[in-house]
Amino acid sequence: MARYFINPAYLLKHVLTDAGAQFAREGSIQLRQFLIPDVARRLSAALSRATSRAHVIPDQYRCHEPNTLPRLARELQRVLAKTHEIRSIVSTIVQKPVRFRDACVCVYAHGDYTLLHDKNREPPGYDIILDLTPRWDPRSCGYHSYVKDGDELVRVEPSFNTLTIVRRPASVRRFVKYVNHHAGKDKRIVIEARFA
Amino acid sequence: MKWVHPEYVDKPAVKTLSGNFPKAKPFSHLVLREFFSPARIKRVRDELLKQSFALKQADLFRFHQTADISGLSNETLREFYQFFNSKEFCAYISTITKTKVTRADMSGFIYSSTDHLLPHDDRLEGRRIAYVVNVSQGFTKKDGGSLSFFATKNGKPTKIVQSFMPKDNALFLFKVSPKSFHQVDEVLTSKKRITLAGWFYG
Repeated sequence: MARYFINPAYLLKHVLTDAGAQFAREGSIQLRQFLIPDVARRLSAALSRATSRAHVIPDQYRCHEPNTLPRLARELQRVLAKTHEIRSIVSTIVQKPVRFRDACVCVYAHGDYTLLHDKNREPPGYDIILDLTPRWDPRSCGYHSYVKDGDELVRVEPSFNTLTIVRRPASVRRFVKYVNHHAGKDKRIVIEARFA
Repeated sequence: MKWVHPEYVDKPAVKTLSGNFPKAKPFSHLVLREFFSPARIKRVRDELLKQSFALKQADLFRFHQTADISGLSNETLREFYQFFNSKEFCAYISTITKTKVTRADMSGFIYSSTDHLLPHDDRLEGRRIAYVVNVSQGFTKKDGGSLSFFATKNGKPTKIVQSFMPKDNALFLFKVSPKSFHQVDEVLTSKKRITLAGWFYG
């Protein structure tokens, strides 16, 4: 199933082993052109068209979620959750067995953000961020920031069809920086998954 | 009280303010327009703009801030801070807010395009009254930069119910409490939201 979605290069053992070596050194890695280009384009277009609803707890987060997931996105979510290929990719890169925890499609528009709130503590693990943002002005922010004791360790900028894997120990927390008015009507679209 | 416009210090005014403060919604606050002597506050603004401002950025905010005003060498700004920290002004603030305060701190802030402060309640040990001295000029609604107050339900912020556009020579005071959720809306244009702000402690 995964082979219908994923760039065949990322199913090659030696590519993943090299990526694993980089991950071991840096604690994060970005796999560019992760999906087959046509799949990424269709998925991004379908998600861009989907209407979304806001989730807001003002002192914790403000973000959007599609009202209904396009068929392709549902299938990809199933691939992330159920297929051994994805688990195998992540396991090879992080160099240990992993277990799928959860996944969601998140949309960040002007005014959206997440905050480092005590009520938002996530269990440690490995974060997967698949970026499907078709167009983005970098001045808009909306990036994922991983911080420890106030210092930023990793910043994941919007980048179309890039899969980012980040190791997040208990001492590291993450937030999505406020999306400012430079975004206009553009939206950052990501599929986020967590593995333990 | 030479810094303060005389109409704010006569007895009936003080009585009115102390009556209004606890009744204000969604939490105790006062908005005091034209609060300071115009000539003095203009001097403060002019001197403030000569200071260096460092970009501060985290999950909750992005703005530009001076060092603590008490540590600056600028005479006008130090005098303004010393007035805020004086027994006389702390007694005045204690009276109009019915909250005992004994000292204040102060920093200067500039919010430029895209700068913001997201919702929070300001609660930290010792903080009793939060204040903002606004010296911004020429703001309209489309510029953003408003100070916005949230309603709360079961101790959680729900939605914005009051917004105050930046205005020159205005003092905002509010009681720091589990209800005092507020934000500074993003500045949307090239205008600069310029303030001196801090807390009165008790």
